[in-house]
Amino acid sequence: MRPEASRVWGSRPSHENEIWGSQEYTMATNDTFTVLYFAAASTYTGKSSDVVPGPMPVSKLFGYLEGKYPGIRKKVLSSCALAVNLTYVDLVEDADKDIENGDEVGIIPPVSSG
Amino acid sequence: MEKFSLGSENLDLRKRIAELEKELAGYRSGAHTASNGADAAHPQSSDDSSEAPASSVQDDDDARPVKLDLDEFRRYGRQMIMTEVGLDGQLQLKRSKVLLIGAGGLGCPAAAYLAGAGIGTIGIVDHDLVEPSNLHRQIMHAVDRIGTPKVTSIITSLNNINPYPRYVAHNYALSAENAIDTLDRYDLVLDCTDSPQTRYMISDACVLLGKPLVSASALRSDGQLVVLNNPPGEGPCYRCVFPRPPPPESVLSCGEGGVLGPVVGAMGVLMATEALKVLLAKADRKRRRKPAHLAVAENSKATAASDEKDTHAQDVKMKGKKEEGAEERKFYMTIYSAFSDTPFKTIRMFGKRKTCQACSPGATITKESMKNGSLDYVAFCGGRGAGKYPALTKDEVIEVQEYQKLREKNEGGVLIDVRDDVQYGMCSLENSINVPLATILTLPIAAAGEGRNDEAEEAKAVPIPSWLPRDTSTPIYFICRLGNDSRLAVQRLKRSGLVRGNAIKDVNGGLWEWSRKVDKSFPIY
Repeated sequence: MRPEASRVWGSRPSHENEIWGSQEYTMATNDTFTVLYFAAASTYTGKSSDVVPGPMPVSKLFGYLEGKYPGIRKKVLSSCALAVNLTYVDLVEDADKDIENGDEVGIIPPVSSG
Repeated sequence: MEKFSLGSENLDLRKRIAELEKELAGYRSGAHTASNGADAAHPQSSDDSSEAPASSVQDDDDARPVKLDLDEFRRYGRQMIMTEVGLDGQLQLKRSKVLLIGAGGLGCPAAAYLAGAGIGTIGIVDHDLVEPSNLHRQIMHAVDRIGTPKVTSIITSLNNINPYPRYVAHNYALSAENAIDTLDRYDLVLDCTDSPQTRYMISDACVLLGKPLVSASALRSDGQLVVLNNPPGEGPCYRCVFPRPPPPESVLSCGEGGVLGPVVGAMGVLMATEALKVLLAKADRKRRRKPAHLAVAENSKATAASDEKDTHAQDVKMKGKKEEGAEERKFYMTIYSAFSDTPFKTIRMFGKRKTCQACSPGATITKESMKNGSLDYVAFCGGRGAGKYPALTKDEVIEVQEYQKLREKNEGGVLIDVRDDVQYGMCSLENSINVPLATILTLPIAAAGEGRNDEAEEAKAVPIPSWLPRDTSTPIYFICRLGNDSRLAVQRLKRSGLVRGNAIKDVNGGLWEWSRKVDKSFPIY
């Protein structure tokens, strides 16, 4: 049975899901730093960046984000690379390093598809 | 007189031999090619490209003599006149053997540009067949080759671009067991694959074999590009960058997560650029000339400096050399976010990770452990999505035809489509309602006896969502694209404890099965 013979796919009005303008822009202030979300991190948080009060040691960041986005630590952050001001940061060796206010932190999940 | 005459003849012969030897050396270094352009050096046939991993690539010396014929001069002239390439660079490309693993969205554009650039030998590993859903991004495949192996399809297209390279088809899946043998006969590897396990496996093999690796990936509107193990033994490997694999349930293929054609295309093209950079770096740099005006300026500076104080000039020179050396040891990862205002970001990386399992002095991964299969990459990456989707009981599943019969009798209950709203907007079944899986996963979990008290209280406080039937007799059916997420939904709704009495079932195989077995006019995507 064909529920509706004259149906034309694609004619349905698309949902107002704005993939083109889904990014939130937030301004960092003097006592904050910016966190940029890439790939799966952006999908999970639903945004491309956040402003976080600083300074904060590297080791505290993932805990802070887990509080903001429950489940993100296990599902996304566990495999992520971290960059502070476009420089790779080792989560173990640089754990005590401070993220300063005004810094830009990149959360970079591995993309494996292609 | 007789003696003298013989002696002079001897001398002449010796001179001639020396000349010929010099000429031969010229041929060997490849610098003497122009005069040989008329040689009928026909493009190498790809007929002999073999599917067997063994003996398909010549094991010849890296420095083997190669030359260009007249057609190749015309063909490659546009890139050869660049200072970065030149004749030496072009000959180096022709001497090179490059392996592309994957003939998909990354492999197609990368292979096209590498073939066009005149790489001598291009190997391609892939075991898939061309499918219609590949064509929006895998630009080397074509409508009339749907259903044929990707390796033969891509080589057909590459031959149309440039018949000169030797193309080698490896029509099998790369595994830990065959990776070493497959990669060993190439100079450079491009990882154009689509899963974490192959990425770790290829990286490990490249480290063990001392091959540089160009690795890129793309999903949706995001891409990553990094040159690994370059120079071999110095640069970081994939494990150094991402020591922990992503949890398997979070790994999405392009088929699951979607991908924009030009995004993965851009990453593939960038891979080709990086591959050319790695190969050209091998060409003799000394032969590369500086722009004339700079050479003059430098010479006069050097003269002036030497007039003043030799040691100072030496210092400047040394300093310059040092900086150049330090620059070579920098490593970068490029990340691309197509929809961002600043789409490209380059992250500076540090060298190898001190504790790396693959490339540090304490590495535990060996060729033997790869070859004998004791390294389980699937397990390392958390299993083949095992446990990703729950197994349901017989009572929790309904076949599509059976469900259609219920719908005809108006007994279809509540049909909940758990795809996201974008996909639901593309096509959906009549009278279905859209509750994305992401929403269902936020339902509370009923405390089961041993649960903590506060959790139970929390669960009680959550109101029953509007989309759930209020009576206990209306059955609830979950459907999705392929029948996986709907199983998660069944399990999750049951765990929520919000439904008492209602049957909760999964429409087996989802809309894909629906289209195949019930309504052929329903789109498959």
